[in-house]
Amino acid sequence: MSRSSARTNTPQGAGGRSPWQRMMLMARPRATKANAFAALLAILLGFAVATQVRQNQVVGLESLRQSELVGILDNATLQSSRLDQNARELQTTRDELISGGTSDAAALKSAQERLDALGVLAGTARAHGPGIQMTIGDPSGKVTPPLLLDAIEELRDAGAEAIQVGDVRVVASSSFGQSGSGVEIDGIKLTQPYVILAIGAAQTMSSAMEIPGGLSENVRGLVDASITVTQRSDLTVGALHAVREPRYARPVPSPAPAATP
Amino acid sequence: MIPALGLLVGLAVGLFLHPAVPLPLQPYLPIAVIAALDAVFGGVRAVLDGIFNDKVFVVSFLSNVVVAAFIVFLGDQLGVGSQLSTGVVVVLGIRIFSNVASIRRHLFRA
Amino acid sequence: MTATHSHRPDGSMTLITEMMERPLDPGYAAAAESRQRSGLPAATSHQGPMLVAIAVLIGAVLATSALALRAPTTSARQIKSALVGRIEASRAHADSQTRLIAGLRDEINKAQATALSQQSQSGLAADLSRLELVTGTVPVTGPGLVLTLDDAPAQANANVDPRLATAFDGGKVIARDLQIIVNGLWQAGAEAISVNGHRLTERAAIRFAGEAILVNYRPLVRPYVITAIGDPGSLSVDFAENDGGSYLQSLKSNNGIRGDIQARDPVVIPGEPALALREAKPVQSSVTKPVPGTTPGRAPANTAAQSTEASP
Repeated sequence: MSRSSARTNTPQGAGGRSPWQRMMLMARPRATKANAFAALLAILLGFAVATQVRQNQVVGLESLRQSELVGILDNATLQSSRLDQNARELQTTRDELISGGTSDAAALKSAQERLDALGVLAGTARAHGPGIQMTIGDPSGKVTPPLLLDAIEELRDAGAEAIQVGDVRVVASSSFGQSGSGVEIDGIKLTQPYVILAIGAAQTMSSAMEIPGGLSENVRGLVDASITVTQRSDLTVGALHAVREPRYARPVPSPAPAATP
Repeated sequence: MIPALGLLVGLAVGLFLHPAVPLPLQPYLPIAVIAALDAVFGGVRAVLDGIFNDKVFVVSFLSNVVVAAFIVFLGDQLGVGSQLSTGVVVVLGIRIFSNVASIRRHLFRA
Repeated sequence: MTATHSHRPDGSMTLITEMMERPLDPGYAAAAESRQRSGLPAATSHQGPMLVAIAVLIGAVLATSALALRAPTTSARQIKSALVGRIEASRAHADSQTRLIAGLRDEINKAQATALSQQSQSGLAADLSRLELVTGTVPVTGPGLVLTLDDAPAQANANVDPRLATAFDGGKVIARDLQIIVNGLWQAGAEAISVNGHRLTERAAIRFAGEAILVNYRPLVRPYVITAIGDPGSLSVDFAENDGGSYLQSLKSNNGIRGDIQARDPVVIPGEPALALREAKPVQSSVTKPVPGTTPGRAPANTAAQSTEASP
């Protein structure tokens, strides 16, 4: 790797310097106006490239059809109004608690109400309310775990708050699997007809099941399978889920210690 | 100077009067515009080169527009309309770039 | 304008070379030459009336075509960009509301914790924190893995119009893929899962909307990062062996989708503070009704003084 061999293949430029030396000379920073301007342009170019690359990766809403955009907007507006309502309720609760005076009873009540809500969400409390009852008949065993999984996701998307499949409560950690020729949930085998109860806005959930490309269409596409959806003004989700104590997940320690009386 | 003012007057007239373009002619508008731009830049470069000739300018402008529109029309009839129009746009675009580069060399000596 | 017949070796390239080397109409050069030969200056005046008339005409043509060609795009584009604007505004509002809700939840929890400890209701407090962890309202940390999914490389670069894309655009990650993989992780014993920072709760749905995958109504940006907490020894092994793991494997080998699992300790999974119920009510509420005439924690007063009086 002698210097002479390094130079044999490179043509000598003006002034007898090799191209690498010329590059090094050029790369040395000099405080001139032209250099500063060139640096500015280079920064802008880099910024433009980065933005464009980022733009390409970001979900391109502009490329969607108008009908799809309307659907997304409906979803977004619905979620916004739910969040608004949630925020208002929390604000009322917070103000009641902070205002002192009745704080003892109010705090206890709000804690118990929160416990109720979390119990329903965790599947440790029975729940009742308006909703739908879906019966999927499948005498030929064509229903697959992904189909039931999709059913649960569509129900959740339509606002379902408590769901039960057969005698098993559905919670966040519920998983579907294949068991012989049938479907099992959380390790418990299900038998057809699959009866699904879901508490939530009955009309919304019922329509969601009937959208083109939705669950009803998929079920009816299976051989011998059938699906009926009934809206109910009050149904009970009575199955319970035995909470498995998490062994590895711990709450993130909060920065401020709880106030001691 | 006067022709430049004339250009501005024409732009203003077009923007304010907003004449309706007959529907059959609409597909040929983009090509006509590019052909017109090619003739304009050619004319400006000729001025800077010192060999401007108004008769040549007028003839080149009109023939550019007519020929470009005719090529696209022929392509539409033959079924290769979009390809031919792409070809026309590429050629005119390269000419515009070359003429503008020459204008730039004259004006900015850069 | 006949070209001189010089036999250049690259004669077949005349079209390209003419276009690039001689963009200026040769008519100018020829006219200038002939004028110079007859003693006139090379260029003609550029104030001639014909020239001005042509300039006005060109201006009018430019302006008219600009207006005419813009019209068709405004109606469709305007509607779409209006929709996109409203979607973005709605999302920004949703994000700020979520932050507000998280803050309010925090304050409420602190006030509750104080009050509960004052009333020696530590059992209630413990139940609350246990359920908060399990349902996903609070952030959690622990050992686990990070699974990164991305579209197949060719798809990532193509700017394909969704209307023209074929029905089976295999290299794209779809909502169903995420559903099945997440299902596999739960099956393998995950205790908490989040997708691109959105905690999966009992109410969170993984769905499709147009080209975007939504988790809990929020659209995801590629790549898709699934974080899970679980037994570091068995989580990835059990996942690889179950249906979710084999589905991921087939996605990688058949569709070219990029998937990469990394064990990590610790990972932090955020909570979903806005989790609440609308329609569902518990069959048996745990809210204790206060006994009328007393407040909890204080014995009824004045009984000693009134003991001899008969109650009316």
